[in-house]
Parts: sequence; C-alpha cells; structure tokens
Amino acid sequence: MAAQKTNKRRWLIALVALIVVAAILAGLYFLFRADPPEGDKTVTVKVVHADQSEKEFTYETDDEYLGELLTEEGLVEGETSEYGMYITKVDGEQAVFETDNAYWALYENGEYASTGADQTVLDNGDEFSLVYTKDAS
Amino acid sequence: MRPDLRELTEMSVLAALTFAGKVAMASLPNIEPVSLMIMLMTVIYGRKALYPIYVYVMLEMLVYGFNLWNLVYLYIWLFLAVPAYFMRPVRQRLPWAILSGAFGLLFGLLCIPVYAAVGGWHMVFSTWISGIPYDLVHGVSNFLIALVAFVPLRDLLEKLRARRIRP
Repeated sequence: MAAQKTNKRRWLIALVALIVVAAILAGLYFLFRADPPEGDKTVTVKVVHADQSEKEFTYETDDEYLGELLTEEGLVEGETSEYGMYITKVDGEQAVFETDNAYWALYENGEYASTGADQTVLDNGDEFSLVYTKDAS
Repeated sequence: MRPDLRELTEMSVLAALTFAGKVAMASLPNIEPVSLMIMLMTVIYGRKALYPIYVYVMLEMLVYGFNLWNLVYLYIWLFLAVPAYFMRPVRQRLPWAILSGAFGLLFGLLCIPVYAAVGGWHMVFSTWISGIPYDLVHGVSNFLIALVAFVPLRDLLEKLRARRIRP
C-alpha cells in the first residue's frame, strides 16, 4: 500500500516535470521566435516552374508571415504537416512527391528557408523563390 | 530473438495498421497514432518490437521515398521504444501518457541532426524554435491518446496473444 502510494507520487512528480518542460519550451518559443515587423512591406516572390519558366510577383502587404500572404493572394495551396505548412501547388502547378518525388522548395533571400512558409517572417524588401524541385532519390 | 512465422504476420499487420493510422490522421497536424503503436509493440514483443518498428519505417520510405526528412525515422522511434521496454511492468495509465507526451514534446529536439544536415548547424536553433508550437501540440495529443487508449489496447493485445498461445 505504502509502495503504491510512493509510486503514485513519483508519477505525479513526473507529470509536473512534463508540464514544466512544456512551459520552458513555450517560454523559449516566445523569447526567441522571430518577431514580425509591423506595417507595410514590399516583398517579391519568384516562381520557377517545372519547365524552368519564371514568373515574379510583387506584393505590398501588412501580413506578418509569408504563408498567410501567399494563401490570401491565391498563389499557393498547401496542407499542414508535422514540419509546418507544406506547399503542394504554386501558380497552378502541382508538385506530387508520392509519384514524382517533386516538391516546392522555398528560398528566402537566396538561401534555403529554415522554416515553413507559415512561419517565415516577412521583412520589407525580402525576396523569396518557390522552385519546383525533383528529388533525385 | 527471431520471431516465428505467426509473430511475423502479426507484426506486419501491426506495422501496416500503424502506417494506415498515420495516413488516416495526416490531416490533423502532429496528432498521430504512431507513438501509441510503438509503445504497444514494445510491451507486447519486447526486443522483437524492432521488427514491426522497422517494417513501419520501411513502409514510410517505400511510399514517400528516401529523403532527408524521413531519415529521422531511422532513429527517432528508438527514443520511445527503449524507455517503453524498461517500463513494461508498469500497468497504470499515467506513466505511459507521460512517456508518450514527453516524446511528443521533445520530437523537434530529437530531429536536430536532420535539421543540421538540411540547413547546417547555424539553422538548427531557429528551425527548432519555430517548430515548438508543433511539438506542444504533439506532446499534448500524445499524452491524451496514450492516457485513453494505451491500457485498453494493451489488455486487448495481451488477451489475443494468450488465446493463441493456449493449445
């Protein structure tokens, strides 16, 4: 009986520890996440299609994240994945990973983006590229 | 530690169910049945659970192709299966929910080697930080799923196993 009680206490302490870890994670997120600047910004988005044809779009927006801007403008369609927004269709062209190993790669100011479009912060003058990419494997 | 033919069949079915469950729940971001199934496989089969776990990983690779993002699947489930192996005698619901919840919370942290391979070490921190909201959802959903489903499913699988072992 006493052992059972100790056991229960131990697991309750573990539960509290779990909640503390969650709170620390949430704190780290609010402390270190990229803060979106407020107000109007002008950003450009270059789309490179499968046939290598290119189109450039310029937007003036007060949106904070790229994902919401591109969805509102109807340039992209996507779904939410475990790594954030997963873009499936850009400017009318679908990339199908399951059959073609193809996906839309996102570049931010020339570098491969480290976040999904829904978490990519918009800064004035940003240049994004969405490139139809085929994985060799 | 080699499974017999019957066990192999059971394990393959469980691995296929895990994959099907994941696909069925794909529209719910970071709410998945895989963690629950990994824990169940481990308590039922012990060390032999590595077979169904890697059959599941193989299914992922076959369907989605071998790429940097599912490279993480080659090792990440071991961070759940190894503690689950040592927790096998535990029968209460709460400890299993805590284990599953902790795994969900730390999922992003455990992906760091892959983040580094994709974007280099300078991108690791920003990528991990930006994924924390997803880890929080993953942790809470894993906790609740395990709290509700782990013990009843474990009992069911153990009963089925006992029935087939009896002559």
